[in-house]
Amino acid sequence: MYQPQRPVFRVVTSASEAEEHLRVIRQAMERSTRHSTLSGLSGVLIGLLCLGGCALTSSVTQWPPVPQEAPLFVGVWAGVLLIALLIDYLLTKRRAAQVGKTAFSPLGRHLARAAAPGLLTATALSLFYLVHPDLIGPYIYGVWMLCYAVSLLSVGMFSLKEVSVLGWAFLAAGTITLLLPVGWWIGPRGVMALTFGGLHIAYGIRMGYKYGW
Amino acid sequence: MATVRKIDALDDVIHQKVRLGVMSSLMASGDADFNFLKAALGVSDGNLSTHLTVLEEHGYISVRKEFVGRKPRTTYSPTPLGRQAFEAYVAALEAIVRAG
Repeated sequence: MYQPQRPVFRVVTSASEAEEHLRVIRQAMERSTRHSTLSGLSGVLIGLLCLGGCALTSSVTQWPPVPQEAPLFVGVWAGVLLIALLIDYLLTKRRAAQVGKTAFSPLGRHLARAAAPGLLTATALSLFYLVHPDLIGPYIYGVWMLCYAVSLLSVGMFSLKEVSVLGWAFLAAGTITLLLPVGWWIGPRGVMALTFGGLHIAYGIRMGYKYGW
Repeated sequence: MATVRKIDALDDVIHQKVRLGVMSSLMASGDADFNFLKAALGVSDGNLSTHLTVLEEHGYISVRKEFVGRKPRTTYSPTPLGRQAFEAYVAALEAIVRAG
């Protein structure tokens, strides 16, 4: 049972006063989450890194993927993912210090938990691809886009609307990539560069200009 | 004319707009430093400092002081008592609004 140390109760109040106080609470909570620790620079660097990953996989593997190249293909992208996580960790920490917060606040941990199911699903499907490369090889990029979209949309529910917009863009791109024929003009590799590369860079620039780098 | 009702659960420690703002902000973000709260709430150093002291004296927030590089930094976070008080306060406000 809640017992304040030095209780000083107000005896009378009004519905309009209560509504005003609820408005103050809502406003303060919104302002607190608007001071985002998401880094614009991180988005740009991760986008450039993904473009590098696209260029590297294009030069060392074939498309559509051949089963014997699956370990090399997944290895390159696993390396890209690890570097991207490291960049995001360091720049989020830096951004959090700039806005007077800690990267691993309860809100930060909440966002990480929201992102986890989509990322873990992508990891599970990548392992499946390694074991059965002939089954989902041509579709792996579309699958990654959809898994990433799920993570972004989950995080977007507790974060800035730009994250949700990015999530919907990945959802659309992933759906298009999976439904269109393997040999269509831009191809899954092109969409991969446009989304993980281009969309991340556009998102990072928007976040940087709007909320800070 | 708004309905005036008796209520026995409104805590005067929180029932002040800056203190309410501080508690709301800390409940939303988990923890925050002085400059963050000042920017989020749009209040002066002195005003914020006074209200933070009241909340700390009542055990609603905890204070952590550290150095980041050479700069001192004070971080505030809600205590379990503060969380409980805030939740009780919001429940009381909602009850008033529903009754009104």
